[in-house]
Amino acid sequence: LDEHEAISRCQGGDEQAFRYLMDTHKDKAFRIACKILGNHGTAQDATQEAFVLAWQSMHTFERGRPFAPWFFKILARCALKRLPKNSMQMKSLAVEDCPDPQDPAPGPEQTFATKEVFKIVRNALATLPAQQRTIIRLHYDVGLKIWEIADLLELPEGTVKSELYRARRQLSQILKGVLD
Amino acid sequence: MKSNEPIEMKLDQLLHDYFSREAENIIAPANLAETVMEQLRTPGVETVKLTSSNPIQVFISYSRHDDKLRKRFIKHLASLELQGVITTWHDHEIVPGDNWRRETDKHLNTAEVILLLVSENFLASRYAYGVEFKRAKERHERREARVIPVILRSCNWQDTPLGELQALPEGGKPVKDWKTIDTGFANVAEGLKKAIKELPSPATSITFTYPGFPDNFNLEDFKQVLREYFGVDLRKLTISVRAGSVKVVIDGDAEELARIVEALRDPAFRRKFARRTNPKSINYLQNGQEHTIPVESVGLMELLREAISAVPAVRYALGVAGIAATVSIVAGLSTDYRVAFFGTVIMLGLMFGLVSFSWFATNSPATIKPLALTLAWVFVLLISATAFFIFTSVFISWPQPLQAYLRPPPLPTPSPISTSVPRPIADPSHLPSVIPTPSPSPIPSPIPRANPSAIAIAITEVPPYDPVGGASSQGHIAGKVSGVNPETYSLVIYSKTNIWYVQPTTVNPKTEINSDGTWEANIQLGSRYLALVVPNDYNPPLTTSGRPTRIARGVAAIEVEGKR
Repeated sequence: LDEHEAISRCQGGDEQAFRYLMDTHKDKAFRIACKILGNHGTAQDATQEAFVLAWQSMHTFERGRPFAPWFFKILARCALKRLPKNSMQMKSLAVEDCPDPQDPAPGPEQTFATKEVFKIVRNALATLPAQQRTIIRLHYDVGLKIWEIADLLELPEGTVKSELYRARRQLSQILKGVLD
Repeated sequence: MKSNEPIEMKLDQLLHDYFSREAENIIAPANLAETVMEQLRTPGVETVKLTSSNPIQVFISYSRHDDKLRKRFIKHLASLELQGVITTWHDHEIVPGDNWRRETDKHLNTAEVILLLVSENFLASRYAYGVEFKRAKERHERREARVIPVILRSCNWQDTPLGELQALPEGGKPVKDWKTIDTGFANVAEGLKKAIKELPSPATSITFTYPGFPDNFNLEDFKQVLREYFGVDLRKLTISVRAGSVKVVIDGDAEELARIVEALRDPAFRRKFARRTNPKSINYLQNGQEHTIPVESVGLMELLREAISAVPAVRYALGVAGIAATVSIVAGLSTDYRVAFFGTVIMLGLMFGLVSFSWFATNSPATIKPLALTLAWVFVLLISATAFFIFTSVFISWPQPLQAYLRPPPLPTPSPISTSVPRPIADPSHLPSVIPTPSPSPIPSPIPRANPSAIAIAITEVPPYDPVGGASSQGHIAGKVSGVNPETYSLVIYSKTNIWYVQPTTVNPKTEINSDGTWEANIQLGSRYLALVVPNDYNPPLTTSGRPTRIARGVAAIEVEGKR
């Protein structure tokens, strides 16, 4: 069973095929929810809700496209709505509460992946304003498009673009030593 | 900015790497999947089961200046998207780093419905109106997609090609002019829903019928064509043979069948396909009804175009053949209409053969192709050779004058004077009078000019009357000439059946005048006979439909009817 076949069968009402999709993506989904919400219990609620919504909306999914980007968008929505809505500042990500990245296993392909580098990156991300950090994570981690982020955060697309630009510029400056 | 590019790329790589490894030790709780599965079985959480039909792909073309209205409009389409009726695409779907042009073209070329958000900005947009609308219109005209202008604001859209299309909202009333913008967009969404219902549903099968199976049908060729044109999965073919005909039915994926039906609706493609596989009829089943796609015959011009594409030399060969045919007509008409007629028929025959075999070279099965191509080239060479010989025959009489090709083969040259059979001498009192001939041509000649008034010619022995003539019908003619020097003048004799033929043979068209002025020859019989006194250097026409005296450079002539 591959992903395309599973999606096709899900659209025909096959629950076992959906179980296959869930098993494939649940860990990453939970991780993203956890990083957005900073709380395992709420993250589990958000992930479960996202899977249920995905099941109910499978008929809208365009066959041939990858499942993950579509599903993570639903997941991000489910997670973000669980954050307090009194200010945009609160829509920041609770990275600090999440465990540190694992030490990477050594390998020739891991150009930047060293423990030291990861620490520098984490610190660099921590220097960003909350909103920029959220946008960076939604873009690079969750894989959302600009307009999808704008839609989720209820921000104009132009704002998302400029915030993303500023965040990248600041990270480039901080990480210049690593990048060079 | 450019100098920052490598750093930006490295940053992207670093962030992706970081996020992919960040918190790898976090895994989903073991009961998460089970809990979800239980929830799925809760009443009210059922999924919507899709049938075979896929959502209609809707492409939205707009000007960036109307982005706010576009966003608002998308929300009105959300319910159709949720119901699985449509999926929308617009350029905001492009993520940084994507090739926006390629992505846009891909969706523009595959969408089944194209919505154009029309405003003064749209009309002024070089890309939306100049490029996207142009492509959309082409697809609309080919019935590949339905293009619907959505009028956002009042503008002069009716006077543009957009005016030919059925617009939304109702009556083409701009969205901005409705009581609220949302009312206008709701009307558009409703109109779109109706338009989608009118879209033809996909075909469920396509049937090609071939009479006279197996003579007119080659399964391997058919499969090859399907593979080339459509990439059809051959396992989906079912073949049934009934009462002398074969039916090939393709059952397959709805999208695949729709693609084939759309392609076959295009007359040019259909002809190309039909020529390769030669079906008697093509039918497809749609909405439970059988529809027929007519299979047209090939037009002459199209046949010619394809022949030229198969063997490019065809165009030159046809040109040469045309010139050769014209030359043979012109040259032939002045001497003999048969030359004109047969010359034309031969050239037309060669042209037909050339075009036919060249066409076969492109449209025949692979096994016959080499033979057809060889024959096409043989015809190119034949035409070239024929044209060459027509030119040389007409202009330098090589290897023979053109008329000679149409004459019967010459008889063995008879002795100019036969003495073995006594011949009756015609009564001089019945001898015909001398016919005056036109003045000799002003071409300078070393031969001393004879005095026409002093020349006399008479036929003393008139051959029998035989209007049919021919090689086996021979007779003797004799006569006398006075007033010319026999060393510088000769005699040319013509015998007439349907036209005048030079005698005694085309190889030996002149008869000597004896020193005493007498002359004689064995000739083919005719209804009339004509003798001309001509200078020795004169080359007489070998045949002529008009009287030879009109064209010959003779100084005296006599014409008599055959003896009955």
